[in-house]
Amino acid sequence: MSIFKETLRHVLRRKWKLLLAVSLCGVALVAVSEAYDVQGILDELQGIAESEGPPSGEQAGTAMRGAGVLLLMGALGFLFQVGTLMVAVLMPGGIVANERGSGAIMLWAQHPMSLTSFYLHRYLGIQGANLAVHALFALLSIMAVLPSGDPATGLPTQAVLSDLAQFSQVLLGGALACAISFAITALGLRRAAFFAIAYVFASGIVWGIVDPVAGFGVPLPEWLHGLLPFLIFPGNPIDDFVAGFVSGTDWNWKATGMVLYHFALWTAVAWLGLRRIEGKPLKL
Amino acid sequence: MNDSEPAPVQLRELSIGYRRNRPVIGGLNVDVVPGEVLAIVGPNGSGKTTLFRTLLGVLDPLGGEASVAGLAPADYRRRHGFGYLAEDTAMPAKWSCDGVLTLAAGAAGPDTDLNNALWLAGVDYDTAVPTDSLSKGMRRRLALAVALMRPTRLLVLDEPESGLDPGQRIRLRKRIESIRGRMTILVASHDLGEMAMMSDRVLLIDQGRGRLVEQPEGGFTRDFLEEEFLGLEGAVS
Repeated sequence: MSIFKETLRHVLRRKWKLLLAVSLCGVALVAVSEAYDVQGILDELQGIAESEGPPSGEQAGTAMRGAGVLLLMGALGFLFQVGTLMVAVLMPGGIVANERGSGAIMLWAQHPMSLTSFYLHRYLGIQGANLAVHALFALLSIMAVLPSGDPATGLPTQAVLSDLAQFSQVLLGGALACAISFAITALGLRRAAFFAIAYVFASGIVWGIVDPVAGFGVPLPEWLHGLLPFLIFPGNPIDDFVAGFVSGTDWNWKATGMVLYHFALWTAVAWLGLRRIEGKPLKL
Repeated sequence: MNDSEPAPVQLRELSIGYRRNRPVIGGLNVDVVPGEVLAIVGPNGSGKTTLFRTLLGVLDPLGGEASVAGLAPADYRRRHGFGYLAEDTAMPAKWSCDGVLTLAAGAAGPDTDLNNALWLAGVDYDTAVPTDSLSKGMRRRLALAVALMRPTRLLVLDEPESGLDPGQRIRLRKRIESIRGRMTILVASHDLGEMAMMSDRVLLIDQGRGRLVEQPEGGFTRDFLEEEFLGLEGAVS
């Protein structure tokens, strides 16, 4: 069996509890969204809020129930989203830094295959497993959010395109988070998953502070505003890229370039880290 | 020299260590003959593992030269690979023995002979289990199988007997005897009895210096090596 297949099999077997937990969150989210008419609850709440005078006892009960359902969905959605990110960054499991630190790296370093090539093969196995589980998560997230398709005509509808966009977003985000975690461990740094999560969250916070549309719009010097997308996790470029991609007509080349740049950046970081470790496999 | 012949090792005024101003061993001159079994004996902390790390190309010499089959050790490692059993046999966390063997076989390339390696290393237990559940001796046998899974020209064994029961030690010696001459073997050990039976020459290391001991007439004996060892300053201090 090849290094790729063995690694893929190992990762799936090793992380099955986490995968199951995140999948169950997704399934629960789907179940809640199927059991309740979320749009109806939102409309009801809006209606109660806009009604004149104090709410009646029945209205108060409806509002409480609606708020409970929304809270439950919010909590499940948050857990599911964080869970998918956790899976992506935990998949590499700090392989390079941990094996270098413990000395287990000499099991592979004594053989003629270069360590760079060896770990890149393992990374492909990890990324393969990561994409497979993220495809499952993406399906769950689609099922939880929108009833898709047009059963009457069978033609692609706006809902189907929206589903495709969501599927691609989950997949791309997961793949990039996994690549970042691997690149950090390839640099020889331990706790790569922690650093990767911190980077993704910090990127979200930075974007929330400076983005004039979705965030606070805190003004930054022009050059810094131009530089930021090259430095932080490209959550927004992924959204823009996917929107262009699913529309089929308005391909967003800028967002495509930014997403490709981030994949290339982290692959290059991983490659450079592995080249360094090739020369000094042991941490002495 | 072709790829299947044992590799010669040359050390010329070799100075090794981790800090430039504090060499662990200095001025080491040794010619290891292809196919020889050279035992390296010395007190704890005398620099045996440091010497191996230098010969494996994972630690640069502080001075002088080390070469394996005419190549710098790091180049030799990348081009031909070694067989190496480390003193502390670390295994990747949470992997099964089968998984470790599969990964190592992938790194070793097409010449891998896994069954022969398992036999030579004495891996006679169920390899479907996680490496974390193995005893120290079982872990070392697994690491030895990794070291022997492809035809190697240089085998470096750092305290191979550590963690093995007496029966396994005897079996290991016999199996090393069976591959004798097919590869150059460097072995560091504190078991002078096993070293006496196994080695062609002995490199005694102590107080930053190395001294080669040739085989006396009638071969090495445990008593002979004990006398030589007790003559080392570091051994009695």
